Amino acid sequence: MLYLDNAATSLKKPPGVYLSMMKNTIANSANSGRGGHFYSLRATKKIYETTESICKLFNIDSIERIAYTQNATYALNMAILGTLDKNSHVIITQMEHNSVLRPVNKTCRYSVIKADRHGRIRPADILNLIRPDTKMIISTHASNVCGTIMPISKISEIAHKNGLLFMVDAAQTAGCLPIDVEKDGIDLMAFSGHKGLMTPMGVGGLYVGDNVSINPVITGGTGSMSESLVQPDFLPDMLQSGTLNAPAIIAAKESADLILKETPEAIGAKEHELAVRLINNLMNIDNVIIYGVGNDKDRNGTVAFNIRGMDSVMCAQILNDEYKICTRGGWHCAYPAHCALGSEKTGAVRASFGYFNTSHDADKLTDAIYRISKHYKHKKNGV
Amino acid sequence: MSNLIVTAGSVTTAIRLEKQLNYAGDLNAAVIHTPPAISTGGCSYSVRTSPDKLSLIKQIMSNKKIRVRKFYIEELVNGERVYSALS
Repeated sequence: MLYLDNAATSLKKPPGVYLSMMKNTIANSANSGRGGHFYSLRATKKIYETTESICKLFNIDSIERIAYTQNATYALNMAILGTLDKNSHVIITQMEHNSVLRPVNKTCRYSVIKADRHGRIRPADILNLIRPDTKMIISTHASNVCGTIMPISKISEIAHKNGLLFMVDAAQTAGCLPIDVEKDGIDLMAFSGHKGLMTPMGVGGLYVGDNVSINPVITGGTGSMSESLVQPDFLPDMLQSGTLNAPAIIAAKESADLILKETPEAIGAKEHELAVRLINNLMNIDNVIIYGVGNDKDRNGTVAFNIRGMDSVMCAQILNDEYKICTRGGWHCAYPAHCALGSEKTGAVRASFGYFNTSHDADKLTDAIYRISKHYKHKKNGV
Repeated sequence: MSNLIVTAGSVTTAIRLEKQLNYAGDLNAAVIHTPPAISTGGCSYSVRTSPDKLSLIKQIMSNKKIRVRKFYIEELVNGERVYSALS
């Protein structure tokens, strides 16, 4: 099978991740931050080492400012529900995933920065949406549908000039695009581990800048201030209740260190190259529609397309059944993004490249799409 | 026997402090569960270290922006551990 669904999760992990997961399930499954015994402290110190690597990756200067979650969705919910309420207004982009749309819709008033047919937004459009009750701007770093990269530094500049917080959903980019919370002016950032960071599943996190006031959504045991009925007011304990997935978090150090060595820039460039190769190939097939920014620079390794007139879910199914290629058809939990791209009625087939893919994979998918489109065209024409 | 106990609250902060102190020199720092005598009734974490270099320890904390709660001297008196807070 050829795996091209890295926007959903990374199927393969670096070998060190598997080894670490096994080793630390045996050696470091004690409950970190619970008591002062050898095994607990050893697990906690191992988790700390992973956090150090993640801090290096995102240029975060204080370890305490990262709270681990199960995934990016939990981190986004923690941030949105913990900083906004029904009296707040927030500005989001049209390219957001449901993990932003649904908690925002549930929690507060919001306005949407419209995206164009390529999934791009114009940062200047934000100015018209700012109101006296606006508290925050939220933007995905890159669309999970078509891979368009958002101008986060420019959005951040506008946010801070207007006294607003800026939150980034880095689910699609952590590990495969450079992120610098200082340079990019990020106040809050949710990231998933299992996608670009290639950690085991069940690892995500929230970065909280020191200018952010946040209330905990999940409360409970933190291993600190046990005498109090009130959640600790210090990070990460405030946002990190319950037992952490220690073996998976510890294993995340292996992939984070690999990424630090190879650099997110280089990994992102390779994935971009694969996406561009696929797009250039698909552009030679006359009845294929490609969504997003095409082969421009502001894209990552995620490509959305359709065979004209063909249902996207059916196309993905044929790719799976007949060509042994894993892609994802449908609406990708981001219907408004599809509305911007013009694929709201059909959804799209999404092929997303990851660390382990090669140019051969892009060519193999092209070949399959060529064959499917030819067959579909003939079938449609009754040939 | 005399030790300096720095109470930190979060285990993450305690480990951070321990690492920084051991990195800076021979401060023999170790994370411990805060002794009940100086905790506020519940769980928290502290760093046990050498009492000789308090000013260096405070300087490291200041440079690295590590926020702690209190400093105590731990002494063994008649076989019992006794704690006295430093101002």
